[in-house]
Amino acid sequence: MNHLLKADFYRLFRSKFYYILVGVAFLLAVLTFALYMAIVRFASAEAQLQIGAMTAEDFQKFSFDGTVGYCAAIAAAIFICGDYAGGGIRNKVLTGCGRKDIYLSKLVAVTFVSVCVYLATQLVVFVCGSIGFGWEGASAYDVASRFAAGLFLAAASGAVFTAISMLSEKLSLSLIVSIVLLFTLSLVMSLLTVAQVYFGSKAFDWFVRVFGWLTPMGQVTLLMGGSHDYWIMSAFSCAWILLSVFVFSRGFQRRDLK
Amino acid sequence: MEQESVLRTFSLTKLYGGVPAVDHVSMNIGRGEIYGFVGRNGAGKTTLMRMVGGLIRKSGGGFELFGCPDADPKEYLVRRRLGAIIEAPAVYPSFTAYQNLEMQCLAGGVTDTSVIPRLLERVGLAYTGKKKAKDFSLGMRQRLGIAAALVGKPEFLILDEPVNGLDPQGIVEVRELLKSLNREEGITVFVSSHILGELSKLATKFGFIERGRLLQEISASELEHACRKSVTLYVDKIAGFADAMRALGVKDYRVISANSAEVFAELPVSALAFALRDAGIDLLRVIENDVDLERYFIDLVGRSAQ
Repeated sequence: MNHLLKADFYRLFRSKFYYILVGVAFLLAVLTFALYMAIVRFASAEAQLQIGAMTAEDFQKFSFDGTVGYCAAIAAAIFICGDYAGGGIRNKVLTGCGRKDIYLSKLVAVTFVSVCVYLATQLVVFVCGSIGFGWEGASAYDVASRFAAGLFLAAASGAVFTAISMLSEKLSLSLIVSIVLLFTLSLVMSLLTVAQVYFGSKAFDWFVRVFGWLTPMGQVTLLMGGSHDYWIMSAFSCAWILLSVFVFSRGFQRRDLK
Repeated sequence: MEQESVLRTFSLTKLYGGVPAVDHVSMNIGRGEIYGFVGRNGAGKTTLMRMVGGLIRKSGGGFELFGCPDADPKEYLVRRRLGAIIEAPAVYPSFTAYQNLEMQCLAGGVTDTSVIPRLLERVGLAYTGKKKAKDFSLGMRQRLGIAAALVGKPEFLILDEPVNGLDPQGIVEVRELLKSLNREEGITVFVSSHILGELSKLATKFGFIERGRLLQEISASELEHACRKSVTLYVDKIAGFADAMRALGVKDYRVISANSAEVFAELPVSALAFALRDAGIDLLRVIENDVDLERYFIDLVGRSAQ
């Protein structure tokens, strides 16, 4: 397993996509920060009084915009399907690297990229947010818990998209499945949130919350909306990671490789 | 004493949609052999290699690799003694040849990277420097794949069409490389190729496969015996033929019919004609038979189809 990790990280650190994804996530976060700064600066005093001043905590909530999920999907597709296409995975199986170890090594590498992307966005939140907005009135516990929930969410996204890429083999198929999944879940979550306003029933509220906890894209919406269920969400993220390790990996262990 | 087996298959079978791609194949590759796997495209060569390599699951039968049965849950560990190229060499296009082998070293847990320059030298890629593998020719990729297969100092090499895409000089170089690996380092080689002439210069044992079924396993010496040069003689009568052969000192011959016989010896036709005339036989026609591996394979496939 250690050998495989060394080999995968050797390849990862020599891959342009890794630096591009982290760089793009960082630049998007900076751009978002600049836009929020502009909105705050040019907003009318009346509106500012009504809504309240924007804080770094608000900026942290808005940073959960799904970028990490898309980056994890792209990273998994390029890193894993690229290895399939080059014959690397086939060669590892041929030379006695266990299939489970191969899967786990890929999962760790993709999760690492996903976490790096997340940390790049959070770097902007904590550095620029502190300078530009300040943490006035923010609870340190909430900020830390939200950060941790985001971290688990990034890891879960890495684990889920690793499974999709390991099972789909082809870059195009993996990308299509991952992006369609992300779009669909976002769409469903948005529709449920709108429906929640109109239905207004307690039971439906719970349904939306549970659906939100269950899926990484649902969690993004909940975190953005200011939900405080950080540890429930983290637990569901861990469940996705465990599902990938113990269940989806079996699919890879059983499949015939071309 | 029985030769130690590196690979033994027992009725190994692979079905695709109920159709056998490999059909009850039982073969044996002994330590130190160069086993040439001969068959047409789609005959089942690659499928069998892929099953042995753990890439695809069998539908029936079984195999033992270094004495370890495939049903053993830790069977994949014995594959660490393998080096293989199946279908296409594993090459990372954005890496140089050196980086590709470094990657292979890391994945295989090989800590001594001093093997890399030696291997690149051995396969003729030492000069490639910073050139990326995506800019390599097919032949160069093939050589890089062979070098990668050798990184872990394997005891058993599985090579599926290793000379594909190589120029004539490259083919000779790979042949010599495999021979020297077999001779000097005792590596057992399981190689398939559709260039039968090439395989005949390399292999010490042959397996012929057609439509998933192993038709025959034969050693190189047996094949050489079966493919030895001969002449078919058409005569007016066969009586006295044995006397003529005795007079010539020829022991290896067979009578085919009342008017023909096959002689396995390299003799001048004039000598044959004189000896036969002395025995009172008229020589009517002479046909030279030169059976090579290709001819042997075609005949074998033809016989199996009947």
